[in-house]
Amino acid sequence: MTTEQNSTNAAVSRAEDHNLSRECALKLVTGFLTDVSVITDGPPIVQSGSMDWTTWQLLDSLFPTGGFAHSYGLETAYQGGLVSDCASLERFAVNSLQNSAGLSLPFVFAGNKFPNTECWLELNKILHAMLTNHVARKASLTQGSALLRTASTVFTEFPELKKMRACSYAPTATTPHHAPLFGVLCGLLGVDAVTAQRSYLFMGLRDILSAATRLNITGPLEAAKLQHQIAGVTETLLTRYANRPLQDSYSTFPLVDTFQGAHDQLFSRMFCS
Amino acid sequence: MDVDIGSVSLMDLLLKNQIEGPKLNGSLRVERVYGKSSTTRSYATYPLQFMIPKKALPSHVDAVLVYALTFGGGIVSGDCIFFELNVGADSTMMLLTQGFTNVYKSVEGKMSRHILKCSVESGGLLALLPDSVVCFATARYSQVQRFNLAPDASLVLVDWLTSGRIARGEVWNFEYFKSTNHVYIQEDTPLLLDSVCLDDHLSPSVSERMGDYHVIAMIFIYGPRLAELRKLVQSNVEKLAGGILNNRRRTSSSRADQVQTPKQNPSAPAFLASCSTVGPLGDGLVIRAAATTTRSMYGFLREQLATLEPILGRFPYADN
Repeated sequence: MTTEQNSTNAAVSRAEDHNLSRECALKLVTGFLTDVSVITDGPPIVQSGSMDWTTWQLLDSLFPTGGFAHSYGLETAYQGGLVSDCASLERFAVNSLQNSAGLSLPFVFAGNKFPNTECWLELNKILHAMLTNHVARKASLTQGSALLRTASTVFTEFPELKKMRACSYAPTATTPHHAPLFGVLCGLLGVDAVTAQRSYLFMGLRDILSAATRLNITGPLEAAKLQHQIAGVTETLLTRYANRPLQDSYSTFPLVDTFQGAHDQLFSRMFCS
Repeated sequence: MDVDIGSVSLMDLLLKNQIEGPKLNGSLRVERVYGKSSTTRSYATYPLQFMIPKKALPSHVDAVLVYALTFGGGIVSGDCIFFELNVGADSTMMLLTQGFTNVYKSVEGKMSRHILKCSVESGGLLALLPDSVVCFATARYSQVQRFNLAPDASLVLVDWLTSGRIARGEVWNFEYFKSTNHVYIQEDTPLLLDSVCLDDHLSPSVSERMGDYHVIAMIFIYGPRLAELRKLVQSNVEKLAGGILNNRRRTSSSRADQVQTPKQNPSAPAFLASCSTVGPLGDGLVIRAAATTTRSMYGFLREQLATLEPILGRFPYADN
């Protein structure tokens, strides 16, 4: 038996696993089947997929919001000795995500539920007073500004974004913070509240682990493994911290504020925060 | 989705249910009378007591010294201590405690609560310099402190917590701790909305989060009468943090050279502090510190707040 026949047989048996007839499977893998409808079930592609594209784009590293310039306090924690290996990195990442869930998710949630300029301005003002650590505050402001610039350019179908952009130019300029703006953007795009909050935590984890590989605390493979492991923990955090009102917004990891607040004092540093 | 929140400001939602309901245990007002800060109202009911020692301060110092005491040296499960402090124009009040505020074991899951509402009028100064809160094993504690300041009022606030009765092996063993400090300028402009919650029911647990640290502290400094102190503390803390982090950095980079040797155990610094300015004009300063011993935190507070002596008539935390 030739190699070609071998691989065709394998492909046919794989296709058979999908409950296709052997004849149909043979046609499919040899390229003779043009009617794809026999192997698709569930809703039509067009309806189910468009929202995924939007969500994925928001989370894509191609979407220029500058998240990778920030380490969420990891750089100071690493140089300070709080994080030194993979185990302490995992602890730090989980603690930081919990902190971010406790503090920021109520803002993502509120923004998602009330995606208009008036609420956004109010949320922005409150979060500004809640971010008492200037390094985290600056990180939130630079990412928020980049997100507003990108979003108002990309999602031109929403005039609200233009209106918000104008607010950031006005004489009493409002510099946008990341969490409420992300919530508002998801609200406008029709991304549901839980997905918006899950996405926010996903970005946090992604940015911490990306920083960890660039700080050489861990390698890219190990980081990907950690990302997979922590995803389960994050889902538990989400069940506890999602959909909460603003008055329940608090930080849970005071050490990260203590360390991150000293970021500017590092003699040499790679990240903005 | 169609909930109308236009009529209710989000700020109201933020503080809703946090300061309402409980009975007022005490109220204290200090005003300037004949050119000197004097107590013009002092009222307290069980279990709260104000002690205002006369002649405790040198005669040239214009300030009122108040000790806030509770029977039993702390707050028992289910109790709520709620009091108000009011500092009139151009007067000065210093509030101290006579020891740690103990939060006793929670009975039937009841919470111990502490609520404080403060207002400081134009030119006034409030110094809130308590000893730390100590939460016993299984304790549940919630603290809300709200400050309304005139734009040119001044405030120094210390809020700190230790891991528990360490000698009894109670290290981060309490069930729940939440501390909220809200500072507003003229009642509606938020300057600082700080809220920390350590809930042991959630994973990762509090002791996992705190690692080897036993004490955490937050210090807030604001206002024209403390402008010099603020600048001094900021420069001190930045120097201190830089020294701690960068000296470590050199040793760790020399360790990184020996790639073959296994990494040492994570050893974070025994003490670290950092600071951030807040407010549109950067005229507030938040300092956060973490320490492995109560003694080193007392040392830090003593050192940083020593320049309050000419204003308050004594060196803060000098006896500890």
